[in-house]
Amino acid sequence: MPGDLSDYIVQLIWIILFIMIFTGASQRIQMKIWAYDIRNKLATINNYLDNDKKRVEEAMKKLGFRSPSLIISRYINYFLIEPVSIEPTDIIRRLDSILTTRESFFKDTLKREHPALGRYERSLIESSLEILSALNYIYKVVRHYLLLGEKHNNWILLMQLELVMPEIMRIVETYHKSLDSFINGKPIGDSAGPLLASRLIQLGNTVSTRIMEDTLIAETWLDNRRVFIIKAEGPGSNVGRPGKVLKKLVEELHGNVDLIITVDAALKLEGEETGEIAEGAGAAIGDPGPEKIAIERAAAQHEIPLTAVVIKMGLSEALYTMKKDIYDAVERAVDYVRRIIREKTGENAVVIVAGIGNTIGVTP
Amino acid sequence: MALADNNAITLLLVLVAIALVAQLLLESRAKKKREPKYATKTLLKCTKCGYTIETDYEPGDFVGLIKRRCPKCGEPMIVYGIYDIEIKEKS
Ligand SMILES: [Zn+2]
Repeated sequence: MPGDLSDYIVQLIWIILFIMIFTGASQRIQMKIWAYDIRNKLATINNYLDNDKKRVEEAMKKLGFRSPSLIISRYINYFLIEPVSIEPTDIIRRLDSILTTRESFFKDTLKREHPALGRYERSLIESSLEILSALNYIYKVVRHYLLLGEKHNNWILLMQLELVMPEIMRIVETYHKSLDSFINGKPIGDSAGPLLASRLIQLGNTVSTRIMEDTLIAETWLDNRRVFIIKAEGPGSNVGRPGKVLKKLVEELHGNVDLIITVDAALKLEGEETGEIAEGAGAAIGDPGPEKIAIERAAAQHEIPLTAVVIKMGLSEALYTMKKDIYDAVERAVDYVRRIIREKTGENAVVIVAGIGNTIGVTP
Repeated sequence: MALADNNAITLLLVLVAIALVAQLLLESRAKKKREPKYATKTLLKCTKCGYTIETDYEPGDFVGLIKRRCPKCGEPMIVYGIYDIEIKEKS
């Protein structure tokens, strides 16, 4: 009877399903689906990487580099080994020396390959290469875990990878899209700090400016206070050495500083609004350590109040061309910083304001 | 009687499955909102009278660059800001 037959088939399907659950075959299928999805996303990353490589290559050719692809492949495989951290003595100095080595490798190679190239253009190519290097690294790591998971049938590894893939893709998209700003030299969201510093220099009565380690120090009179403004030297893609320079400046002034204010772009939490301004205590700077500790040490040694002002934005907004919201927030932050200076110090006080961040597209 | 019951349950299961798939599809469709497009603008400000104009960004522009002359008083203008504004697409 047909009724009995369909009953048998349904029974059989249930039995097969049960066997699959107990033998782990269902996980196999799940694993295949995950691997398929990851592979697709990996292809997207590879696609971005190829396109971006071509773009940087073309830009380099236009500037007169002879063998851009060779330089690119040498750059994107450059790695960094973190210093030993179980022995913390002078770790900052060791880290700083490693970071400096890396930086001078990046700078010197380009200089050697094309000595006639201007500093501004060179800095843009340097940053573009760093983006390629980051994309390349992400691509390699994702591929590594995918292949490892498949090789050992490690479905937990693949599951973890599948779960973090959306986050990784968001970062990849961010790097990919930010290349446009870096190749062209447009200010990015992270330039908020330097832009604010440049506004203060314009507003004040500048007495002198000088440059130390790619970093600009401007001495100005603003609201009857002697204000030293520190920012990276523009308009190239450059973050400068704000910490070290600030420390030197404080020493030059023999610690006679009444207030230090650091201004930086800060990652907002999900749900917070872009362009929110917040004030706090401490040094607002997102470097791996050496610059931040220099500011903290300078402030602690001479008991100078350390105030931080941050402009909040998302990771992608910090790397894309500066959005109007952030630009407007910088204008508001200028007034905010001036108010802090007026409230916390008297007339003729000495104040240091450091605009932290990449000064790309912003000068002085 | 038993057969009729079975059919009803099967129908119910099929309907639930379709509803789930439809919901998933709709959700992923809704997430693919069109991303807003941006255009980069350069804000020029007169160094003397403070008159400002917003122009399209040109490669090589940076904040602090002296560029063009003020249409009002003829003094040089300075690039005061560079930023992205959202383009509203007509649909
Ligand atoms: Zn004018």
